[in-house]
Amino acid sequence: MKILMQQSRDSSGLDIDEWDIGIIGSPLDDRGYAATGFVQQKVKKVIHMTVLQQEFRFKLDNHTYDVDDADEAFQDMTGKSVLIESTTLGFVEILLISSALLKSNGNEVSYLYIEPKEYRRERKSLVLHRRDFDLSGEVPGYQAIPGYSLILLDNVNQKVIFFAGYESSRLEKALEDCPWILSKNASIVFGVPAFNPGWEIDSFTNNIAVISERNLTGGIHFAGATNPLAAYDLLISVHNGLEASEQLFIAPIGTKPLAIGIALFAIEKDNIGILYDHPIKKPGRTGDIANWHLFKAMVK
Amino acid sequence: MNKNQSIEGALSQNRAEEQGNDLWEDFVIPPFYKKLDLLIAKKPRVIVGGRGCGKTMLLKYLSHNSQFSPNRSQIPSDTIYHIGIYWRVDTHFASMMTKRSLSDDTWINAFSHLASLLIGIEIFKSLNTIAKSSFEGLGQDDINKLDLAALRNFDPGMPTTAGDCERHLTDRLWQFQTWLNNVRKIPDPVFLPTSFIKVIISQIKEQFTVLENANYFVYLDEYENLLPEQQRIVNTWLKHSEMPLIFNLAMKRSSFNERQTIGNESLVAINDYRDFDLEKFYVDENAFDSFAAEILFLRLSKNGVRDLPIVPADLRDVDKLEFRNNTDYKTKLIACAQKMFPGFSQAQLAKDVFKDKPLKDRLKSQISAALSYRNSKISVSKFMKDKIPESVIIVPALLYRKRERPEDILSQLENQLKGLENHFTGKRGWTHNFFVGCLLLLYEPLNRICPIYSGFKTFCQMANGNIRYLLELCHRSIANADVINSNSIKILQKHQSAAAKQTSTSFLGEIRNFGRYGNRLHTFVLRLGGLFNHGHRRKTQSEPEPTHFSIVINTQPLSDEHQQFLAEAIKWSVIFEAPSTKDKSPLDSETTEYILNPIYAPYFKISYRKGRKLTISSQDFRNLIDGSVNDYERLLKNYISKWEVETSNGTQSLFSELNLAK
Repeated sequence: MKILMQQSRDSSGLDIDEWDIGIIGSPLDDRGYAATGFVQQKVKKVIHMTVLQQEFRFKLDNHTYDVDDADEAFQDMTGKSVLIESTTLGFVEILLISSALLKSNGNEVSYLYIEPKEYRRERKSLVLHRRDFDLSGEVPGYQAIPGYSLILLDNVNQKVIFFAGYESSRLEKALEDCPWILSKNASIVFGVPAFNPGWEIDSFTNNIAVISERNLTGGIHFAGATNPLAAYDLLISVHNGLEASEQLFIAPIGTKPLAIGIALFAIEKDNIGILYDHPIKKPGRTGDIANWHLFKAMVK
Repeated sequence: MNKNQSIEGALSQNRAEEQGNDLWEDFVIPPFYKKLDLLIAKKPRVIVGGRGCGKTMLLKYLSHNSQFSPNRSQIPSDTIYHIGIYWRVDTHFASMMTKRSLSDDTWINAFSHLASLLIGIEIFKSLNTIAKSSFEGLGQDDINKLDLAALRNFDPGMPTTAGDCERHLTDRLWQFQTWLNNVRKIPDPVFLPTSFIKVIISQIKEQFTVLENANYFVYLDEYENLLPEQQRIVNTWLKHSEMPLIFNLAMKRSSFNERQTIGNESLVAINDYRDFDLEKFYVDENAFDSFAAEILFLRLSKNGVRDLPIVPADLRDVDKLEFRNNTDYKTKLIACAQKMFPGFSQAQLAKDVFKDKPLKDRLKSQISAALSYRNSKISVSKFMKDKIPESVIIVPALLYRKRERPEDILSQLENQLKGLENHFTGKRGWTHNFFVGCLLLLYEPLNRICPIYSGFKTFCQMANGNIRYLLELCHRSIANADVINSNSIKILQKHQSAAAKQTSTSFLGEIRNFGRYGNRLHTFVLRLGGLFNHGHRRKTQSEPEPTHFSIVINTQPLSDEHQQFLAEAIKWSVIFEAPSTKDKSPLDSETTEYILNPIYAPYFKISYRKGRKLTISSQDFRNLIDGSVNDYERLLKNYISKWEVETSNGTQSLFSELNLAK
């Protein structure tokens, strides 16, 4: 897989293509509106996508498909230039689209992502909760994504990689829901450099207690929070070092650009287990917009 | 590792999941064990209990890995009547066994297939466990001779020996995994029915005389996390359980909501199963404190602490249960635990206030402010009676009560000092009723932790039936202590109180992981705890120590969604449900009380005891669950005004970010 990346303070600084199709999700905050507005201007056709996780289905505009039928659903887009608006789409959507469109050599897909200027913090208490963020509403919990789910048993030879974000409860819940994860085999990837200098401290502080209490000793890694290539490369190097019987589980619970790198890795390799908790994101979870990113993934 | 770390390490692993499958040496048989009738049960058991109450430990103890542990030197011959199989379904993986345009029948067969594979593999493992144990009569050679050709009726490719069958089932598990991920691309496998398990068992019983009376008990943990349609399949197995294969369930409280089977029948208690609430046993038999002490001591003894009032082997001997239930023994246990984790008596707490200048000054200023409020000219010093500090501490609250005249309060104090009849220690029980609330209020604005949260018995009250909480309180206390002599552990109260605050904060954060409503439950507890905190800060201390509530259903009854939220809060033990002890007014029509889990008390600087009930309207309850921050501010302001709570003391509190100005 070849991954190209560009970044700019605003959309005018991006070297952009013309796209046939743009796939967007529902905007929840300033950057979401900016991103979907941009897509609507720059592509010939816009398609809205929603995943109905409990149903194992997804919708493209008004058409509903089974997750298992993703290849057929996106068949008409093969060979066309597609822009995936990843600010408003979730990890599952990105995985399904990428998997369907990046099957053959020469295929390519672009991803737009806009950083927020700030994340919403909880107004609950100043003293003890100043690093708490109010990003997710209901969290259905860790549920399988067909095509990317492996059974976890205590005798499964495993390596588990968590890409951590601000909400340490997502990491903790994975360990609670999947007690077969062996702490010695679990490693954490922090998004460093973060979107803004200093933001990584929130992620460290929130997750360090879980890492320590759960005695996660598989190692700590770093990958730039806005850098899907770093996530992809890191996973390739971990994958290359796996023992024959070892199975790799990845939890994309960090930043979206890292989730894109994970999706690109997962669709390229066989037998990758994805652990994902499908949080329902809160409206207005971030404020204002910061840097714009355009990534392009190509099958080599 | 120094001694401190070793002792601390003894308590750091407090989840059953962290302790492996063989718990023979780590398990303490609970005092009510015989009542569960587990080893001679012929009917399924449904074991219910909140998080951390010991469900998983019990199930793992009953499983073959523990019962036939290599650490068990003598295994009675009747142990084979009960061979336990522990099964916690990987619900993440199993969650995709639904919908996806496949028929319900296909999913029923697929889930039964998964069960047959996993339980089948575990039965073969149990043979190896038994062969490697001290149980006589079954060796590895015998297992090698087992002929399983009968299984070919289910799967023509099935090998005939136990070892090969186990490997074959494992291979089929991986094939099943591949199919489940690609149901459109790969044809359905030949699914194994659960009768496959029965045939494995029958072959074992037929071919091994020593196992002819063997029975297999599957213990399915975390039943509540299965999909409803999967619960119906399990219910069907439960309903049709018969020797030698019995299915049993374990789940959190309030979560046995699906009683249907896949047929037209439904499960009926007593007819189809017997249920046991583990925490109810602790309460009914007043057994938690001594049981918790035994677990604590067993952990410590395994890490080199000597002179403990237990014999480790007795704790895993069913025949010693009667002895362990003896009052003298239990008293000795608690006394020893209390010596390690001493608390303060009320008298000691009060004396220490008088010895501590900042606290004594604050008490004086509280009395002075109350006297000004009452326009009284009596001097503060007249109330500062060093010999009866417990009573002096509650004087500010009494002074704010308009019904009590300052002169009369002083007179009652003087009567007490003279040994005469008085309201402080007499029938009106002022000191008894108001001391804890007043002490908490004394500490509230100071950046210090009130020492009421120390002492083993207090820890037990805060843990409220949760072994994990108790061990964590002890663990953090030891971690806070500077030096520990392993032969004479004694943790200072200040280290215990600090541990209580740390533990409380840590478990409060954990609420976010409690199911799909975790974030909402977390907000609810922060808001409810905040409300109780303000209730503790009433100047008059009327209705002292509010830690539980009931809901008045007036104009707007609770919606189904809010009822569901309440059930979820109970399921995760965020609150406990109890029948109302007394209804105070005709409006208070609700008969249920909801008690905030006392483990959160130190965080909110409130009492861990069940104090007075707060009656809230259904509208206020809705605001606590999902009102906006502004709604919550309004709610708090109403109570602050009603309760006459002082909020502008200039210190930064838990609620500094809220605008609570009148």
